[in-house]
Amino acid sequence: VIRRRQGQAISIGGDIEIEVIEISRNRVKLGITASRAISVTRSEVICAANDNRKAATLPACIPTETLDTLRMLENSARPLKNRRHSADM
Amino acid sequence: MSTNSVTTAREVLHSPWIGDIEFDSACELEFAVGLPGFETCHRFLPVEIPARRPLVYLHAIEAPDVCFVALPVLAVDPHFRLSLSEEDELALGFDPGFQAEIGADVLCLVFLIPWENTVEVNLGSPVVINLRNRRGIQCVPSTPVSKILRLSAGIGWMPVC
Repeated sequence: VIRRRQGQAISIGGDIEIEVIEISRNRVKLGITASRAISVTRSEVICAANDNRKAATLPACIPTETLDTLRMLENSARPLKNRRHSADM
Repeated sequence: MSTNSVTTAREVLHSPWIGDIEFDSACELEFAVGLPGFETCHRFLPVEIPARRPLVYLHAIEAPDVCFVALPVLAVDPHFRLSLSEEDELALGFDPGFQAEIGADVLCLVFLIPWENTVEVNLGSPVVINLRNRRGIQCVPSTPVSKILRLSAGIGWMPVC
């Protein structure tokens, strides 16, 4: 654990520098200096990336049942005036 | 003879999933930082196939094999409330504190994620597109608000505990 104040920085491996730019009540703004080859991302984005990689495989294999259920939901969500009603026939 | 009309280029996207799509460059969406996991894809084309409504295919233009199947978030949860961070507002070109309205100001989609024989969506990380400038982002909140719904065949969307 390293304690730092606003305006101070830490260096990792000599190539990466992380500076504490701003500290507010419950947030810290960090400035990161690193080579373009190093990916810098928030940890929570990694979960979204994993979900997106899975999502990108779907166009090849959308289950027919999924399409049928989505169609059913779409039809049931239409306003009543757009639906045929037995009493109107 | 001069004209005031704006001319836009027409392009063809050769999709292995939904065939060839001829489109006007004015229709494409710009994702300045790409999407998580697909950071090199910056241009996307939203495609709606009438027979497959309400699905929206979000197709990468630079990488024709990259395509997401999405739904308008309100088709999954009619009570969904959009919450944008300051960074999200900036990336979309909104003023800080602007209350973007789904449908009027923004298009809000969720990707379908395959799960066994069905699909899931995560309402916690929607894709948001500013309808005025066609800039898009995927919102990934700093405080995880994962809200996963799974499609149950013949029933509808069910929360996943």
